[in-house]
Amino acid sequence: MMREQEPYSDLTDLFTAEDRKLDPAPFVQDVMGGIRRKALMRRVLLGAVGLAGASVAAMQLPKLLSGWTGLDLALTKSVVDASKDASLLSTVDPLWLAVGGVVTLSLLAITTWERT
Amino acid sequence: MRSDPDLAEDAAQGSEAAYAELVRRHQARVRGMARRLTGSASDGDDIAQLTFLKAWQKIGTYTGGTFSAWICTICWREYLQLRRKQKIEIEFDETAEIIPFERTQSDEVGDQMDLTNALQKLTEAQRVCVTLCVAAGLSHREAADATGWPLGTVKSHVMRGVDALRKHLASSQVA
Repeated sequence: MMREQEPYSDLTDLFTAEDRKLDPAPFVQDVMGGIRRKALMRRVLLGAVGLAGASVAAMQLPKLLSGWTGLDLALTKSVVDASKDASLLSTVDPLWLAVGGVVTLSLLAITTWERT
Repeated sequence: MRSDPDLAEDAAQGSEAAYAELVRRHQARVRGMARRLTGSASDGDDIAQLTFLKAWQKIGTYTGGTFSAWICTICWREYLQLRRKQKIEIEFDETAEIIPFERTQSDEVGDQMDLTNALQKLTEAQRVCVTLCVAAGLSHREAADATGWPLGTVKSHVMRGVDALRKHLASSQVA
């Protein structure tokens, strides 16, 4: 296929010949050096930020662990209490068991429907 | 020899060797284009270097097609950015006019290029269009896409620019 710049291909050849005189080696080295320097800086920056974050987390770890222990106990207590209340409710009126069953089945049906 | 899209794909996955090959292949075109747009060898090489650094960051966005058109579009944008920066600097730098421009050896080499000298005599729009289409080898459509100018405008600037360039070259040969 003829390209539309054919009428001035003589000038294109002159420009190309002029460009070929440019020495590629130092330029390519400069570009690749710049790319490596940027990559190194990025790695150093990310490493420094990561290290700083890890240090802060390490300093806060004892507090976090103590908080978690309290939270763990509170959660366990709530779950046990809730199951006790539910069983009490069902012994008082068995209708609650049927309501619970219908709600559970409905939720399962909706979940299955949404997945397909 | 591996194609440009293949090398670009490898470069997008982090291969510096593949990218270095792409730089080697296209550096002459991009440096020539940047030198002609700026009218200076050192400024042109700076823009060409920024172009390839930017292209490395954006290599993942290259979706095939003519690699030279893609890289020349980035070069054109870098040139526009430099121009905007220079205008702002000149506006705020009161000493800009009295400090003589220090010419480097590479600029003197650049001055020896007859074609570049003839290009400087064209209007700016003609110089841009001739640089993109005639020197860098982009199609009119690719140049229109890169600059955002209408296709007809690019075509007419190229034709007028080529005519003027031929006249300037002929007159310099007579002289």
